[in-house]
Amino acid sequence: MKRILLILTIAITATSAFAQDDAIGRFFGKYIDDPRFTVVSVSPRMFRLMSKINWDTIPSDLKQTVSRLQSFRVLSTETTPGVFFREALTRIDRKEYEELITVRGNKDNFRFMIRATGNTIHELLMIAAAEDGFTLMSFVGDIDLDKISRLAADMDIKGMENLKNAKRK
Amino acid sequence: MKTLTLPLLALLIACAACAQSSHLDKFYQQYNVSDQESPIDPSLLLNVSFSSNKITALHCLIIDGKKTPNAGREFRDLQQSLRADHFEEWFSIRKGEGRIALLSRDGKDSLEEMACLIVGDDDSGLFFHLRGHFTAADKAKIEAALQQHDSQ
Repeated sequence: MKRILLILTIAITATSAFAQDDAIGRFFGKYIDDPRFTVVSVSPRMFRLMSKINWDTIPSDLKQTVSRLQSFRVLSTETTPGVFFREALTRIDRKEYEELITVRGNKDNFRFMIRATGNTIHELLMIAAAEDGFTLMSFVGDIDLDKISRLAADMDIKGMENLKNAKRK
Repeated sequence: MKTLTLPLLALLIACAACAQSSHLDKFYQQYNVSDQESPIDPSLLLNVSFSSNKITALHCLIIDGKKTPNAGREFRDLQQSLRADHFEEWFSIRKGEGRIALLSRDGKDSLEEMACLIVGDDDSGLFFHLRGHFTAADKAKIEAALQQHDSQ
């Protein structure tokens, strides 16, 4: 009986972990072929390859940051940013994601959320609605916030400057 | 007799499964009909087999969207064939109708397949597919070349 209970607990935990990933995955999946959206997706395989490349011109800490990433996805559109912002927020399980930063202005709305176990951050999620559009961005891997913000700055991703100096509570 | 029939049947099914061509091969086969029968007029269709160790086969397809009204559908069919053949996506970028994707699939005996699809807003596009034995350095070169193309 104890064994069955243990297996059942593991199964439920695993299912809930995957279910959360699916919620964001489904949001990406829903709009991945929608021509209103710009989509960027980098798979774990690509990151594995990038970690093996001998980069002489890239700083070693940046290379280390990239080597610890598993996937990177961006979904953005200029159409009805507020509507997509609200839809994205409703799909996120607040028990799984910890809110890191909220920036709210007259026309801009940025949310940074993390999925973590102990001190290890597994996912950094940015949901942003500004006057010029909506952006959902997800970094998955072993994440160092400071280094990710530098990487994002190098990539010139709007909104990621808000992540600078972010610290977990 | 019954003891022989069962292994024979299993062998036949296995052979039939091996003989099945991939979805991508079926996609190429539609271009092997005569020009009058084919509804698509590719600007370039190149199918080459090599005896070298590095690359064993190369397929290249270029379709001009302005000359071919069904070009968009062709590229969508091509993407479906890649999915059906379980190609794994390395990265993809799409803006509007324009898109670029790099994919690969592991085969037997370290034989790998790499595919790259670049489609513009007017449904003109380029697709190439390589079969061969690729090292990490080879893949890095392909990826770097694509990034350079994308930034241009």
